[in-house]
Amino acid sequence: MIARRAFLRLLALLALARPSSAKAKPAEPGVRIKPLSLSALRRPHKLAG
Amino acid sequence: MLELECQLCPKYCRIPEGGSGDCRIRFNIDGKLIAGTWGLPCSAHIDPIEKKPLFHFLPGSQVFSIATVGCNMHCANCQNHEISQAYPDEVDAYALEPARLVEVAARESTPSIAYTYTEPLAYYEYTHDCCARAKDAGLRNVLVTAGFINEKPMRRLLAVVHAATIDVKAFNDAFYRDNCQASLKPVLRTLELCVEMGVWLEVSNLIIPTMNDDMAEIGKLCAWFVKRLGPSVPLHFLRFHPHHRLRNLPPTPGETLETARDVALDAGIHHVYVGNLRTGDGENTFCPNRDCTGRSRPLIERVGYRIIENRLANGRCPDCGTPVSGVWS
Repeated sequence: MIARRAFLRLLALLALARPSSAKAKPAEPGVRIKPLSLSALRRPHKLAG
Repeated sequence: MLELECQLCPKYCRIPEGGSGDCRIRFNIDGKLIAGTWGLPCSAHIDPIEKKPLFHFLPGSQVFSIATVGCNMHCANCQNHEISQAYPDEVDAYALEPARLVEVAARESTPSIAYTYTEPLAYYEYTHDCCARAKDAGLRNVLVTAGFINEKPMRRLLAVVHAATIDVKAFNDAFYRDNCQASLKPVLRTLELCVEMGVWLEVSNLIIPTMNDDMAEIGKLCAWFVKRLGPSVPLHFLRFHPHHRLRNLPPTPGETLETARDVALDAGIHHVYVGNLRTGDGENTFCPNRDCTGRSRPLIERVGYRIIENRLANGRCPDCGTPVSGVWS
């Protein structure tokens, strides 16, 4: 819950909101970012769809 | 305290300030609606297009597949519930804004991008912006969705989409209400919109023992399907495996899937497949012309997600010349 509140606070601080018909900007500081490994893209995974 | 109404999907969530919609990813921050996962996919993989499942769209190609967390449905059988039922701060994400996504997909030489795994209609703004950017770059866009959205935003999105796999959970509103916390009618409208707007459509239906495996109900789905979508839209019956809150049920028997396939073929649907199960002909594409002399031999023979043989010649049966519906190049 603390992390979620922090996430919401950061979203608020960014104040990049727009109406639902328009785009919103990423709230990167509120989410833990992981590096994109190109070599991992083709590895088998368990997700459906 | 400013409460917002989200008008994206038929739930019309009234979101209190500081809260999120039912999808967990659309927030009310200071009275403004924020798409909380824009540019932040939690999953990115390169898959065979057949996995979506799309059997009549660039067969044998690879598709760059992404998802953010969140979904506006809550299916008891969800196979990806760890991400579909999560909040944005509960799952690590990649920083992949649309321009970067398209750049990576192009570099990996995938001809299309799929918005999949969870619900691309819930992370609508990100899906739309990626689709627009990808289309401009000459890539195709694929939606893998449950189709539970309002018509106006769906029309806007379909303008930049090339193909869609839509999962019809059951031809039964009570199933949608009790098992998915959604409803059937908007989904059927989304299917019709795809056909109306010229987006290549394939439909999937996961058959769950005792819950939606009634053949009379499947027959009603097929009758509606032929009447409203036409006989050349492919239909995939998928095998259920115990997951999430339905671990007490067994996997779908092969006979049930084969019977459903027979029901759909008898209803007049040309291309009916069986997925998540190795079967005789359930993964193969045949000529839709019943009088074709070579009809017993598959046009496209598949094993799982692999193409063993593709005999199509410019999208036509090589034996009788009948065109086979799809996007073949």
